[in-house]
Amino acid sequence: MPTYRYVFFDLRGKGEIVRLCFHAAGVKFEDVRLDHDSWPENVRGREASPFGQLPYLEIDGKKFAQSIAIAQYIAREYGLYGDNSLENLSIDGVVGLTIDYFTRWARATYGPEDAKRRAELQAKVYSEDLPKFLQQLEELLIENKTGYFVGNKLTLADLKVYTTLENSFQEFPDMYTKYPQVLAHRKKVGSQPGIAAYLSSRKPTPV
Amino acid sequence: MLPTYKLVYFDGRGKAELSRLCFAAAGVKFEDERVTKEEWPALKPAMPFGQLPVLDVNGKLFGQSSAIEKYLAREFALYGKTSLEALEIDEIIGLGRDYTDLITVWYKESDETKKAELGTKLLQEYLPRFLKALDSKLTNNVRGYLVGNQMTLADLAIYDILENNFRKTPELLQTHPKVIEHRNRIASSQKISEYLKNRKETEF
Repeated sequence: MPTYRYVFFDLRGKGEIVRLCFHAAGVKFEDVRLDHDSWPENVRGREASPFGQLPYLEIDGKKFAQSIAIAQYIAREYGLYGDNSLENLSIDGVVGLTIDYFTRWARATYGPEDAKRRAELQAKVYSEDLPKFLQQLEELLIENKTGYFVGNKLTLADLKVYTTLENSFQEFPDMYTKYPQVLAHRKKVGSQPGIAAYLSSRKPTPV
Repeated sequence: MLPTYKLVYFDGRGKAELSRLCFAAAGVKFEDERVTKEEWPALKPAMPFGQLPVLDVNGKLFGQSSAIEKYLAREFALYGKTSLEALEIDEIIGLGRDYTDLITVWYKESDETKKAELGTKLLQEYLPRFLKALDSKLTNNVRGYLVGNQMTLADLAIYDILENNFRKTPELLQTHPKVIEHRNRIASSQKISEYLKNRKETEF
C-alpha cells in the first residue's frame, strides 16, 4: 500500500471528504492539519503545495491537489466507488449536486465583503437552496430504496452528502425533520465502523 | 456492443461541449439533442436534478456534466492508463472548474463597479495563475499532452475552457506559447479537427 500524507487546514470544509474516505476504507494516512490563520506562510518549503492550494495528498512523496480528485482516487482504490462505470456515474452525479450546493454556500459565506450582504446571501441559501437540495437528496434516497445513494453499500456519494450537510445540520436541525430519509442516512453513515470511531474522536471545528 | 447515447442540452457549447468533444475524440455516434428555452419548462421535471445536460444511456437518464464527462472518458479510453493518471486528469479538471467558477461569479455580478473589479482580477490574476499551472504541466510532459502520452479528458477540458478566452482575449494567451501549442495540437488532431470544422457556431 502507498504511504499517504494528507495536508489541509484544521477544518472540515472541502477537505473533510478525503478524511472520511480514508476512515471509511480503513486505510492509514497521516492527517496533517495546518493553521488557517498562518496560511499561506505555513505552506512554503517542505509543505509547498501544488498550484498553491490546499488540500493536497502525498502518495509515496508525490503531491496531488484538488479535494474532489483526491476523494475520487481514494474511492476508486478502496471500494467506495460502486461496482461498475454506471454506478461511478451515479455517484459522481450526487457528488456534483453537493458541489453545486457547497459552491453557493461558499459564495454566500466568503464572497461578500460586507456583513449585511453576507447575511442576506446566506439567508437566501438557507431558505431556498438548502431545502431544494435536501428535497433532491430525499427523492434520490426514496428512489434507491437501500438507504444509500447508489447501490446497496456505502460510497463516496454517501460520505460527500454527509460532510456537505454537517454545518446546516448543526445550525438548523429542525429543518431536517421534513426529510426523514436524509435524517436516517445521516445516522446510517455516522454509524459505519471506521466513521463512528473517527467522528467520536474528531475535534469540533467552526466549518 | 456500445449503448445508444443521447446528450440533451441547450443550443450552445456551455456545459455540454466537453461531453460532445469526448464523443468526437472517440468517434462514437450520439444523438445531440438541443432544447430551446421555450421547450425547457415542460422538459425540466423529467430531467434528473431538473437540470441539463443529461446523458441518456440506453434510455436511462443521468445528470451532472462533470459526472457525464468522466463516464464518457472512462468508456472511451480518455481517462489515462492508470488510477494515478486519472487522478492527475481530475486535478486539471478541478483547476479548470475553480477558474470557470470565478468567471461565473463575475458573470452573475449585478453591481457594475464590482463586476468591473472582478473582471480585472480575472484577467490579471486568475487567468494568468491558471495558465501558469497549465504551463507547468505541459513543461513536465514531453509529449505535449497534459497527462500521459496521449489525448485525455484533461486536454479536451482545457481546450473547451479556454475557447471563450481565445475568442475574446487572445492577446492574453500570447505569453503562454505552450498553451497555444497544446491548443493547436488538440484542434488539429484528426477527429477533433473534423468535429470543429462541422460544429455549429454558437455564442456561448
